[in-house]
Amino acid sequence: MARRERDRRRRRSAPALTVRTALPCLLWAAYAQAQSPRLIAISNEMSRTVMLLDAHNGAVVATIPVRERPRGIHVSADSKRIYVALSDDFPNRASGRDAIGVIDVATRRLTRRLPGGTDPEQFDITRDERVAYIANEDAGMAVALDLRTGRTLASLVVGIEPEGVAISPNGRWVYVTAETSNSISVIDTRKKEVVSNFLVDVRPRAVAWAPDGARAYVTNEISGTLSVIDGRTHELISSVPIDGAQGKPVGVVVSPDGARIFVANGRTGRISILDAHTLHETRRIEAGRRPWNIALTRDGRLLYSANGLSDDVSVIDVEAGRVVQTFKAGTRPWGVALIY
Amino acid sequence: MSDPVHAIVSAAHGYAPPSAVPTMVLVRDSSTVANVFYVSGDGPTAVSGDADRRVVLWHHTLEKFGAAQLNARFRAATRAPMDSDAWVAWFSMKILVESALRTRSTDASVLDAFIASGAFDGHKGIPLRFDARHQLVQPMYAVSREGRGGQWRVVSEIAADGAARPH
Repeated sequence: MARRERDRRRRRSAPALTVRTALPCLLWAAYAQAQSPRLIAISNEMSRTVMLLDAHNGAVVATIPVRERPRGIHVSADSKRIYVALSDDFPNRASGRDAIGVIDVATRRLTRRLPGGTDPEQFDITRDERVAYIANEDAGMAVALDLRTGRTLASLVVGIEPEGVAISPNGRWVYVTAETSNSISVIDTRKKEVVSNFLVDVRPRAVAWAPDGARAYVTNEISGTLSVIDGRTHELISSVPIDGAQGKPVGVVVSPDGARIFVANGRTGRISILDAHTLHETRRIEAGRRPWNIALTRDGRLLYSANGLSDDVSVIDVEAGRVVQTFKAGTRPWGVALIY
Repeated sequence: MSDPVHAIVSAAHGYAPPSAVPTMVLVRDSSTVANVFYVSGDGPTAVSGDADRRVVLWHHTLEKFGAAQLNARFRAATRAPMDSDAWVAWFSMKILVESALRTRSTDASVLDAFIASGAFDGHKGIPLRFDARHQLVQPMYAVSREGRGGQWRVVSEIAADGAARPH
């Protein structure tokens, strides 16, 4: 067959390929892109930077100085802004340097510093990105911050050494854990009041909601347990040991389908995966040293852990149950968030 | 129904075993001691050469396991560094209040049983429990200073099982 004839046939068949194959391919590619993050944002507590890494190869895309100690970190739903809790070195003193910093992802600059109360550690943002609820560790308070005006909408007394903060999927409740009083405070977001307090195990650190809001999960660092909370009645349902009760659980996330719970065990260096239905640990994965906080991709396939003592980020393939990549971070990485 | 519980947190003499101070006493009425839990006190100072050494329950320079936050709160409230006696008083009260909250009771026998079997967080990184003799099993800290006027510094942590780790 002449070469020209072959080329003509190839050209003729090309439109059919586009419709039948290429379009689904494009859609799949677009879907896959929406499901896998472009960048990873890390708060490096000791380097005092927020680092942006290429999600695929770990290359450092930007190192953004934030002056104070960055800890809690979240990305807006549209991936345009990073919110990061910044604390000065003077506990018990609101120094104006304590702030919720806003980083513009496009320009990679810290553009705003909003007052977040003293020593802000963890926080959560409402779905409409209007309000942040922030734990003020040294003050035993939580504040509701208007993210547009920077005004404090409410200052609420919660437990002693508040840390973990999570807003329920329906936006109605905020759970705030308190490490020293072993308590969870329940904030009603309509009334902007604490409506209930209840006890969990020893040293509750972080809290995550199931996507349907029926349950919330609290890590208890000293007890080495995960507490299961009824998200409607705000009562403790049960508590299960993590990592053979050897774990020092801190970070916790729930898969988008609600079927799995991921727990970072801090000092044991392991990540536990639990079946949310049976509450059995189905897997334990060795990560870096002191995995502290974790983030899961939208498709639930990859988990990233900020490893505070090995100064890196473990990329964990959830199905394979192992670390597939390790990315270098700054000093004492605390939190990780994903940018799509 | 038993009488309400009276909690006495003190460094008073009378119930102290050697080298320890009674720090929590649950009393069923004004005269009868129901039970004593010992959170205990510091060891004596040993002089070796130019350096003094001592084993303490707490030190105001500790940072790990939320110690920095506790030390900062105490300093903010009292304008004084948290020493072992202050930590013992704080922890004793914390145990008592937490036990009352968890059992939803102020009944002495209920609290007694809970305290004897419970695990508590004294900002030392592990759950702390009382042994059969009602002594708190806990890490302590070896501190040392150069000369009489020197600052006491933590040199090692002595784990609850007796193993020393450099600080």
